[in-house]
Amino acid sequence: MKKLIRKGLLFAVIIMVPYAALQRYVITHHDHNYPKLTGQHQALITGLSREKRGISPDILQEEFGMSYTPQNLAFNSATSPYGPYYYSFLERKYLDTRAPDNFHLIGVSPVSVMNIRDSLMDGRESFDLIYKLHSVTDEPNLEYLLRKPALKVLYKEATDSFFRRAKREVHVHDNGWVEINMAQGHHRTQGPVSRSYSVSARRIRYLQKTIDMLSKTGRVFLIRMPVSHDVLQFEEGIYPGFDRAMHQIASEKSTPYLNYATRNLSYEFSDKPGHHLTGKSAKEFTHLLSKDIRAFLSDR
Amino acid sequence: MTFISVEFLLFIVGCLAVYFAIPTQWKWLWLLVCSYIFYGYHNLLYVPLLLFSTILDYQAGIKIGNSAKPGSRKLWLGISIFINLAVLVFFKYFNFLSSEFQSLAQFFGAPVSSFQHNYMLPLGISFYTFQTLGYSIDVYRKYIKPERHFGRYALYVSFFPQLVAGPIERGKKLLPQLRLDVSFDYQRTVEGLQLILWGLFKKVVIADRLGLYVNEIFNLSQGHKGPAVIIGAFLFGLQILFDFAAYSEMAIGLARILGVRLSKNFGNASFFTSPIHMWSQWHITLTSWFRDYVYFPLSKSGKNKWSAHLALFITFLITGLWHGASWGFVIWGGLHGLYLVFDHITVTRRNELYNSLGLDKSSSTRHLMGILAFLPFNIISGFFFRAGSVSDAMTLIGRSLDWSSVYLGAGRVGNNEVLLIILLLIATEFLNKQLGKRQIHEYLGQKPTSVRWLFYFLVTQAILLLRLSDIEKSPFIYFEF
Repeated sequence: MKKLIRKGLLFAVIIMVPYAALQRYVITHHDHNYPKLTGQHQALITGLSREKRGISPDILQEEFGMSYTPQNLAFNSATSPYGPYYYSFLERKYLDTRAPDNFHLIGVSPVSVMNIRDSLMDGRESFDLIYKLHSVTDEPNLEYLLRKPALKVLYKEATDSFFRRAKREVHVHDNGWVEINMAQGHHRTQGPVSRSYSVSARRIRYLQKTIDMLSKTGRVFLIRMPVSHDVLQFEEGIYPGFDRAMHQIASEKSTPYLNYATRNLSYEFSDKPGHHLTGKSAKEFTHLLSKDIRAFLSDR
Repeated sequence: MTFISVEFLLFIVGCLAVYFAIPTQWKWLWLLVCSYIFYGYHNLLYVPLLLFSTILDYQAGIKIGNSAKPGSRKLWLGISIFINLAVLVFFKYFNFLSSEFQSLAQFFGAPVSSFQHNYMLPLGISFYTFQTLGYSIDVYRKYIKPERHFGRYALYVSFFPQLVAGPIERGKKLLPQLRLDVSFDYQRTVEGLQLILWGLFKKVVIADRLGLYVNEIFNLSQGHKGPAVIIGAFLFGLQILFDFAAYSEMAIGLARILGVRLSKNFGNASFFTSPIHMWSQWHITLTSWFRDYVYFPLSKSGKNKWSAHLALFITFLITGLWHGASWGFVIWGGLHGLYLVFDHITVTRRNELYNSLGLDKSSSTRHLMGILAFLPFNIISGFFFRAGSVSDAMTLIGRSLDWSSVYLGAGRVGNNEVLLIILLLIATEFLNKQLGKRQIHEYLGQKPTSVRWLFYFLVTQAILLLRLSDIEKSPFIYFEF
């Protein structure tokens, strides 16, 4: 028995040390989610993958001369549509310091307030590791570093270029922004997926709760990100009354709604049909967004 | 609790700690308690059913063994078979039979309502029922003497490593071992852990990952077609093989640590050269059960080789039905019955053909030709096994012939995921070739320490790094039977 215990301990050390080292390296450098799972923050950006890739907190900090960096806590359409899980996550993340002139950006899109049914996404939030973590503010977040299988993150990036013949550079910023730059003319194309969508009153209720929660510590802006014409048409197909609904919520909550999807803006997208801005366009957009927010704040 | 869970880890550590600390005469009791805790953890309500089945066949065995009169022996055997099968039919087949009866009656114009019950299928009922039935029949045939120690018999029925998904053990092999005159043995424990590690790898790294692709393809709403569907059906065959082989390996490993040797349930081959080859490697304990208790009695009652072929076909129809209450499973079983009959009829001619081409049994070309010849038939049967219904299976078969789209990924499972699956299968097949007919602990036992530790390192890292994320949790497939 003693021999077994001795060898067992040796085995554990031999396995865990390289595992932990590899996990830490890969996740802290390549995992899109990790920066969002450490620390608490005063200014939050919420939403889906459009906001994750499309809003640069560094530029906001620079434009508004903030002493702290806003944190981009947007994930993707599987993880962070508005709902009890995301709400509870945001509750744990915001720092209640009530800094003057603080603001939060709440990204909205039809998919963020709809239920989606396909083979892998149905009820997916309830399984997400992010919502099972004991802490989302520890630094380092050891639980996430050990539990998230990291090698696949690396493998996926390495093979993405090969299969899509698309050269792309991915930079995961500490502030949660995921900057993706594509070589000119290249796009990432997703395989065919069949889904059904339905408006969720529950998700809309949680969107409203999120606005109420964040309004206590700063000004809240509802932002609809710029997308391609094809994506806009698709969204108008699945949720024709979306804009009207957002205007209504904005009015009820005295919250500005800045809709960039319906403006005729020319940005570059890193994917086809055009959901996510490239890094270059994200920076341009964040400058424009800052200008509009500043105009709004000075009007008040 | 499944073998891959924190609860089970805590359970087994506690079980083993006490097991090796207590005297031999109490080990059976402790294991019995652990087995009932293990089973009750899944659903306490079905523990009495397990106990009932145990008492019934214990009593039947004693009565059969004590009686010299053939009539009385036959009566008790009949009671055992009837009640065991009645319970199994009620929980597993009643709803299916009821709705089929209703359809048939309505076809003839009789307005009959279908009565359906809401009872869940008790975990492992197909396995432990067959195990106890096998015992009763063996006692009747005088292959074994009835077990007089009720506790030991109860442990034979409920032995937790193999309770819910086999291997299905014969009384002659398992009962004597349950005297449990064992103490802690380092080498035996290491071998058990090697089996568990290899099983874990097959399940977590291979089977679960295959399941991602398979689930996507068999979700009809996604509209996949062409080569992706064929690949999906092919990978399903591998998924269920790896999933079930993994469970068996882990069960055998656990039992080994406890000092009990369970039967090998799967060979090392992932690809089969013929139906006969497949069924000599696949779910061996179930196949041999059906051979000994269904096929032989059926075929002995016939007069010629065609009766034997018919018996084989019927046996496989029943094998299909054992897997589940649906026509899809029956068709799957029936197809394999036909394949086997064809195999038996043509085996001599095929051997002559191969020999005339200069391809003897050790030839890799012959091996490959066999695999390629049998694979399409195996894939077709796989559609019926996996699809939700016969009509779904036919829809998918139809879609597989539509090659207007040759996209190999499936929805969210992109080409890079498919590449990873291929690489992992190649690596596993390479190791299987090294194993030959040996089990993993036999293979590693012949290797130097450095090779063993390299294996432990690589396999454990693969499990930790290549396991699926929390989102894609996947229970063992055979728990559904």
